[in-house]
Amino acid sequence: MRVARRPTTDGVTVETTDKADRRSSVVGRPSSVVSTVTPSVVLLVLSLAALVFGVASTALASRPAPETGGLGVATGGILTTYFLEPINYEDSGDYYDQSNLLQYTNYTFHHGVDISGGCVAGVNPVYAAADGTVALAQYINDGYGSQVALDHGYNVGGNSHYTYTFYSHMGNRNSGQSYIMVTPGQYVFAGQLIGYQGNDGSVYGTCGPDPGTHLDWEIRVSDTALSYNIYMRYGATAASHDFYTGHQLTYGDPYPDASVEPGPFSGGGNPTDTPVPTNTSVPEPTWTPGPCGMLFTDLPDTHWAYSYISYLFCHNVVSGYADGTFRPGETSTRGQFTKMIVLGYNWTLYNPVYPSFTDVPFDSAFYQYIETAHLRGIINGYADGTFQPGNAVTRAQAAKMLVLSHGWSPFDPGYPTFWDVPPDNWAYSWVESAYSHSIISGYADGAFHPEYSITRAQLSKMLVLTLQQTR
Amino acid sequence: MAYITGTASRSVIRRVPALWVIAVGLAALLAMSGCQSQPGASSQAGDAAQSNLPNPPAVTEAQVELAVGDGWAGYRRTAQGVIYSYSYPPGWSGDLAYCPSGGHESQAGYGIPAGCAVTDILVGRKASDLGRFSGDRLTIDGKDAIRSVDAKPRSGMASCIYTVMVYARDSSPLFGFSTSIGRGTDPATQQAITALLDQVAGTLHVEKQP
Repeated sequence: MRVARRPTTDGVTVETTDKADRRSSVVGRPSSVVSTVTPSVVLLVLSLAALVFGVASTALASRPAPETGGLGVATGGILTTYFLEPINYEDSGDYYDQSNLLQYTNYTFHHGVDISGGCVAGVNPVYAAADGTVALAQYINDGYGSQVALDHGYNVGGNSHYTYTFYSHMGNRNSGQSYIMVTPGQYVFAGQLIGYQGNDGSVYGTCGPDPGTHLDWEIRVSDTALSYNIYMRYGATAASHDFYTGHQLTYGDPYPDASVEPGPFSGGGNPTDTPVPTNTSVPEPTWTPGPCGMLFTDLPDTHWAYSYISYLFCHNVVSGYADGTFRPGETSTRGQFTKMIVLGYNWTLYNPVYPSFTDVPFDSAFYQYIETAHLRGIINGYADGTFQPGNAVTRAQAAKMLVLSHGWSPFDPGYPTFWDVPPDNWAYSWVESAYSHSIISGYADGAFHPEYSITRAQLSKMLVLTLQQTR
Repeated sequence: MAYITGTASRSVIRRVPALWVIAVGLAALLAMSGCQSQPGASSQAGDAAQSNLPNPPAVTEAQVELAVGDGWAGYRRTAQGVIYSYSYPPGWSGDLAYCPSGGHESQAGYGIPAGCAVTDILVGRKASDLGRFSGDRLTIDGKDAIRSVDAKPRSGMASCIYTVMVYARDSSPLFGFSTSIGRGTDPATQQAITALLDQVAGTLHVEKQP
């Protein structure tokens, strides 16, 4: 896989997967897997795939290639089905942990793959693993919580079965919010946003504010087409359970294209008995640019922060990443947030000859923004002379920066609003001031969690709420 | 009402006789359809009292008074246009989670540890998703309600799932909660938790935000 390191329009250098590289997995084997097999095997697999797909491939080929993701191939009695990973590890930010968080379930009661979503629900996107029709999109009190089922039709990858994928726990346990972004009957393409990771259903966790946030992802197959109802999951074989045990997602690659390499297919079914259905009325995906022509591929207009990000986009404060995403769930850095503030207030940029911070040199993409904010007293850096622009900005830091930026005074109400920000906390007066101006709020348990990091979406909201107040 | 914002007291309970009726009624239902995973498991209050739960469940009026009044706290919140409140027992959190063992994620992935319980709040779309379901028909807070106890969830992800939903005058789902009890929880503790949830449901107050 090619991984490009390039500066974005937000001034942050990030590693991104080349789109053409990702797209390659649609028509062939994912590159990360290709590298592990011999060329002859690839040729054999592709040849067989061409035979197996037959008529079905005609329908698939008639559609525009999905942005990412592939369906798979079959060789003899071995099913090798590739699905797009249903999450974007780039969006997972700090929560992505190759050694720990991509958990395989080897519990007897569980038939899927649990993929960590960190500790905050509603921020990490969930994508369709392959093209298909939304069969189910609702909360069910069976333990899986808010769930989406996608029908991928018959003979995916030549598996001679009806194949379905299930995405569960896509709601917030405490707020009652559903993060499902699709509706039954809707056709989705591989890689299309279908919702966000949550923590409802039979889920346990210990970190906050949303313990247990993760995606439960399952692949199920059936000899017959399932009726679309709340029990459909149980009418299919949990392929994932049989297939995944002992196998691994390709998480050694930080940006895996195809995440599942199942083992021998043990399901029944005769590959020649059932005709391959054709799909002649596949709707084309539509995407309407938002205000000021804003078009981020990972920011639907139903996203809770859409209006805030639109505001900033229209005021040239944010422009997203070079790959067309905004990554609302990604943790924002001190450098990024400083730049957003300076642009938000449209301050004249300051370019001193000598840098104020040892780790923000003249050629840094953030140099003039950080120097401008420093000149205005918004930031001071650390005692060691650094600013650490790549560090995540915390809630307390954001509160202070916004209060100072807007010219508000620190505020001491005499009694702390949040139990975890007492008067002797360095951020006390800043947090209280920000709270008094309604740009921040706390959690249901009365805490503020000053050390929590903030996502780009959350910071966008806070900044807009600040900018829109009278100075 | 006082118990909405503070600790439930016996005096408050006495001022709200309807709560007695609901709680006792729910407890009686529990005796018929308790959350038991093993045939022959006892539903006697005595068994439940042997669990590690605070304020074990009760089916008598006097015991209800003790359970609800002894250290219960109030919880009130507005979400998606619905104002709801309830009282919850000591040892539980305001969002109706309970885990005396202090389980850790790594013990079983994201599975709920045995003896623990977590709760989904159901409002807005999630309440509508659930709609009307099969279960016991009740009256809670003067409104129609349905309560179900799934003693063997098909997902296998919990030993028991308790769900209650309160409906508006127009029969639309207004507010509910669904509590999952961890796999491997012994029948007595399941029973005790379910009985406590019945009592929590009995303290529900739900209204649409003006």
